Amino acid sequence: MSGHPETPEKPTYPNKQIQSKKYLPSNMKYFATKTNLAIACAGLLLPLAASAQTNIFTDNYNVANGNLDTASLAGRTNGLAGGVLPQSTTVEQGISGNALKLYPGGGDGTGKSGAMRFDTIGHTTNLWDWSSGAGGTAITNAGGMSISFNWTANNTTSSDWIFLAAGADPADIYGLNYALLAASSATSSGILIANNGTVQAYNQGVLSASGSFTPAGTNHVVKLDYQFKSWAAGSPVTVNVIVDGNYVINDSFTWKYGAGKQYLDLGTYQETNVVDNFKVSTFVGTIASGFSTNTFVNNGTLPWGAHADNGSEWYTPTNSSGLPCVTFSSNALTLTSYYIPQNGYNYQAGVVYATAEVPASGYTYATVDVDIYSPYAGTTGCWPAWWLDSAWNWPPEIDIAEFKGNVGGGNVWQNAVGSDGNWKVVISTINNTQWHHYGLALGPIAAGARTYELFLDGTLKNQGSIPDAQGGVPFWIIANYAMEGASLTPGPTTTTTIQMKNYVLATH
Amino acid sequence: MTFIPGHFFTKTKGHLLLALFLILGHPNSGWAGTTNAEAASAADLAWQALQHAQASPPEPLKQLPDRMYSDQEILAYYNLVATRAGEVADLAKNFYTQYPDNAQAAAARKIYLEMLYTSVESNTTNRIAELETVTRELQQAPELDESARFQLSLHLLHSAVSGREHQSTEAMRAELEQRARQLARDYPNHPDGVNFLLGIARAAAPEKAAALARDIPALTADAKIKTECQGLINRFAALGHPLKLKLPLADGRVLDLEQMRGKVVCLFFWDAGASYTAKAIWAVNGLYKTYHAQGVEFWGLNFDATPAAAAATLLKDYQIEWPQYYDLPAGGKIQQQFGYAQPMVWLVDKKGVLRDVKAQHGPEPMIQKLLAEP
Repeated sequence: MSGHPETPEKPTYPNKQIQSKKYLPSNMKYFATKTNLAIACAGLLLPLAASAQTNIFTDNYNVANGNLDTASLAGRTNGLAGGVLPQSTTVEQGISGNALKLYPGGGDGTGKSGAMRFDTIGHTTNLWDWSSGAGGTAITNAGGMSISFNWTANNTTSSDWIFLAAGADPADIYGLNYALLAASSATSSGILIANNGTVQAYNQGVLSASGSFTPAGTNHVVKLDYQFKSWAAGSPVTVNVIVDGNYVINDSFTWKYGAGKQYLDLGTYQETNVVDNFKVSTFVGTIASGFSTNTFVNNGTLPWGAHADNGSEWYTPTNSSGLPCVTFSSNALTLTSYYIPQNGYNYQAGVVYATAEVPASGYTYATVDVDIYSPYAGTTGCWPAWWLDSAWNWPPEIDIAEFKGNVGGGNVWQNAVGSDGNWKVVISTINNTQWHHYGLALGPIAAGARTYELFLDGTLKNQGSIPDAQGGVPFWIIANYAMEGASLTPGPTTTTTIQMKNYVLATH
Repeated sequence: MTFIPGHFFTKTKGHLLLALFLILGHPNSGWAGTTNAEAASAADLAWQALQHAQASPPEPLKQLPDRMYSDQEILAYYNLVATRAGEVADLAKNFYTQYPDNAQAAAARKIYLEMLYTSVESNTTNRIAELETVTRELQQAPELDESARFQLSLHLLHSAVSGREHQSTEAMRAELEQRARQLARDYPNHPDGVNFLLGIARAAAPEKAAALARDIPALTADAKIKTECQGLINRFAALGHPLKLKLPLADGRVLDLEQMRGKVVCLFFWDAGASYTAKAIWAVNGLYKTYHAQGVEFWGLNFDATPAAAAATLLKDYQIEWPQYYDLPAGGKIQQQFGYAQPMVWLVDKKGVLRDVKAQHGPEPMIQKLLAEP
């Protein structure tokens, strides 16, 4: 599992006392938190969120090699939509090595497209309507659907595309007019992903959003989150594209067709691609995930514009020597602190904040998960953090992971403070040579307060309720690398870093 | 005076460990019980049982994939921890009582104390008295200096307050106040007790805050704390009454509340040194952009000793359009009258009455209310 320590910790009694400062003197500190994390298993996608989903349809393709159309469904498919029959479009598709082999060729006049459609068992001329039955109802009740699959690309060129068409015209799907289906004006939404890192979203044939991911290798996990409340024609939908755990693009569209004509189609373009573990589930609200300039602002300031706090760092995207203080690469975020004086501060360091805020309400609970590699946890003067700050005013604030040297006898703090200014602090000790998983579960505003649970490597460390005098404030998510200040002095005279991976913000 | 958690915990942990080493690890500690020697095998078995019990805490609560924990589940968990830790503490006490000469007796005493702390902190409030007794016994050790004894008292305070967490907020505060008063009396050279009381006073309702502020000066020689206490008393006394303020500005103008009748006035007390001042200025400036056009005046009251570099930089960063009054260069009258420790927001209604002295925790509802009043 991603993010969990490589070495299981010995069970211990919870260290509740030494960390609990609730109702002790207020120590409001706004520039107090910093972040550092990195993720352990880049390939796994949303492990926590997945188990909360209702399985609508899953195909593991675990069947003998052969043609897709004649392959047995026994032990292969399952889910609430029990009548789904995967079939080939434009060219016979195959199953090989317990995976779907998608072949291009034929149908669009140039011989470059091939796809898997979804028919209805026993009625192979009728496409499966995903709005139908218990599955369709479960999807709208959940606020949408998530489609995920493992993708092994043929190569890393711009010609190697895979696509998902949602709300497509059956005439197109059956290949009678099989232009590139995802970019067809008859398709409500088409997502195309090329293994050179290019991702495009088409809205009824019009390119409406584009983004990119880092095409490291040919194996990827693709997740498409469609958020909507209705299958009706004209109803609004937003789609998030997440590749290898990283948010790539967001697009909005409306269903072109209504209930009764809600079809899906997964295809390839130009090259042979391999797909496995195709899954359609109810939506678990991934508002954002991964680290990129799409999901995080990197301009050297905190969300409210301040460029420095009471630490010794000067925040900047790039230091005075041209080296990056913030790096988005290989699905991870790296914040770096350089011991180079600037504007009266001893260090130049990175700070970013998420473009998506944690909303105040509209959910049963929200989660923020991230993996952090903090090799300088325990080092005096290093003060990075991954934290939430009220987007409107003073507290509340929640520090999901804050590193303050050895202050307090541990090397990671997990704290919460409500609008009354009272802190509850839990200090733990981590192995700073390993990645660790940090999680937050946050309830919506209720009776003037919000409940929270803070986790370290899956174990509850700090929980409680924080007052919210504003009646429900959203939160910024901030990753910053402060120096000295609450981590004490003197700080290191060398360059230090912190890394984060597998960031997921979701509502449930 | 600002409470710095980093300093606190560093000192607490280090001194506490030193104290425990001096006491529990010392062969002549007066805290040891006395029993007859037992057969080595029986003692070994007892020691193994104790170690096993200590190494078998309840399964921790794990992150759930599809929901948050209920209050009942949280409480049940900490009750279980409290019970189990209490049982281990009892086992440990039995061991060193039954086998006082065993090589592991000192270690068992240490386990007893650790598990008693854990039990109390988790929810065993009926053992607070026992922990208090043990703490007093530990503090009798001649090896301990005042600092080590203080850390033991502080640890007792934290444990007892934590143990009240699941009882009620009021119970926590009452426990804290009682022990903070004791701490301040017993250790007048340590500011923690007084700082705890100040923290309670700042967060309390006016009557309670004023009562505490009257008591605190007798517990400290710190002039700044005394000034803040008098300020707390004065500011809560001013609440609900017409506020008269005339604030001279550097350019010769005077801000006069008397001239603001018919308008809501937001007074923002700040200094550049507080760690969250930058965000506070940003937040107040946001209020200004929203509410100034609706009839709310915003005044800044700065309490920096020299309102030069830091203050000027902050104000420049946020392009402040509302006036700033610098108290200390003007003689520090506001500081003397109302005290200042950290950024705060006051609200004055259209009739000039001071309506809120803690609006920094959520000013908008009150601003909107005052704007709606005639």
